[in-house]
Amino acid sequence: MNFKNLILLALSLLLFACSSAPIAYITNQGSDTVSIVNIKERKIIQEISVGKGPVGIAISLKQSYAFITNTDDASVNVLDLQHNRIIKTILTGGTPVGITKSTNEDFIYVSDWFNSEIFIIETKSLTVVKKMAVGKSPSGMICDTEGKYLFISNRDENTVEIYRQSDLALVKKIKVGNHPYGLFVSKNLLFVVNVLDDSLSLVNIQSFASETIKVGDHPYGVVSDIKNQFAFVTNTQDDNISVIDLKIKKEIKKIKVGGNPEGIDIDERDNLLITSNWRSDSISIIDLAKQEYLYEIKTGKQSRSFGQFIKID
Amino acid sequence: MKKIIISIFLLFVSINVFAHGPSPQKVEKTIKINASPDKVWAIIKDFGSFQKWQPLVTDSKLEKKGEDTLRTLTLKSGGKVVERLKGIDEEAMKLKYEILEGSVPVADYNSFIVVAKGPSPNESSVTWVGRFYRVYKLNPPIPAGQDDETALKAVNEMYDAGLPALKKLAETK
Repeated sequence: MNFKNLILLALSLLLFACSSAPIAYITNQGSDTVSIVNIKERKIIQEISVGKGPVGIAISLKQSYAFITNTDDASVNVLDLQHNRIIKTILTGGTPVGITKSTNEDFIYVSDWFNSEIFIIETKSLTVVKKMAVGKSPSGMICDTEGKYLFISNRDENTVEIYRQSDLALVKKIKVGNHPYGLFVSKNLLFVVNVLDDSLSLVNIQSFASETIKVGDHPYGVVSDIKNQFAFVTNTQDDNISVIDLKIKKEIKKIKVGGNPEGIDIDERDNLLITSNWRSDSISIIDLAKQEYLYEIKTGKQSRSFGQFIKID
Repeated sequence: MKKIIISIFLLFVSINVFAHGPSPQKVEKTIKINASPDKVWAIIKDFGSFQKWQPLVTDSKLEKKGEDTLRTLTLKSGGKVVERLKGIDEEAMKLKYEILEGSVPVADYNSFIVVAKGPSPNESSVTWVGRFYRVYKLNPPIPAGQDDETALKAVNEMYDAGLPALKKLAETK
């Protein structure tokens, strides 16, 4: 074995040691649990009790925590990803639904649906350090990769608000479709699903210009790949996902998944898409490159996983 | 005066139909029927004849509104419900509909009924699924009659009355 090959072998061994199998954290509204799922082995590693009516999830790899919003008991759970146990329950009040991490992972933003405000949790102290009024019925939230913006969809006023992460000043408020819910951001594009319009809004985050694409019945979640070639939307009332070609800005395919798919997340390293299916108490695994359904894994009851729920490390 | 009260009531109900809380509720029921899937499907897809197999409904009026097909149901309990046909999938033998407004204590109710083939040509099974929210859309305390339990009870009663009646109708020669 020559020196070059030795280096290559060492590098690949190192890569193997660092990158583990993707793990999905699935919030189950009907069983008040989070299912921790090993996707490759197709099995539940553990099922953990959380608060009541868990829906939203955000994962901070830097802190090695997952944060879970519990809609029906006004709390956020902190799940330690090393030991798979809840280490803290933060009593936020209100009705926590959407959740996302700031780009630097120093903060977790939580939307309070009924009180039209957001909670800001500091990841170091795990306490609510600030509350801030936003638009009506804030639901989906996401931050861009550059660390510039926090985006919030306000369901009952059909808007998306764009806040600056550094000082939480409102930069822009834009009209989107009817009842915006799930959000995603990739490169210069913000993706917004409009539940009652059966559509997807694409918002350019430099010019704030937007356009709309037709999708299926009652869409909830959206993701896209890192190059923005395709977007994938869960259609809750059609039991499928729409595949959108972002070059021609059209739906090109539907992929059948489990019943009432809500959450969706993407794992480009492992070539996977995963949906969490509220009606069939399961997750569906999809081959990202082939855009084909692979298999289903049973989870807890009424799986939602609203947010980014795959741990890729 | 009575008209005004009814309009206020309808306004209140229709507002609540679309604005709702964040936790949806589910009812899913299946019944086995000793009749061919085709026969059962023919009954189900006849959207205007719901009263034939739903004892809780005394009358059904079908109407077209633009591209929409609507049915207005008169309930045995006295109220009315307007429902919209969302789609008929012949291949899957699946009908989708939603409640637009009415006196059933639910919000944003979406449902489908699907027929599956049984083990023999003269057997089928029907699954009815509803996804909906409670009427009250604010934080607790939740007023009586607008909570999750009330919404679940109403939908359970609907399915528990309808499915055996559907079985009876389909099994009648």
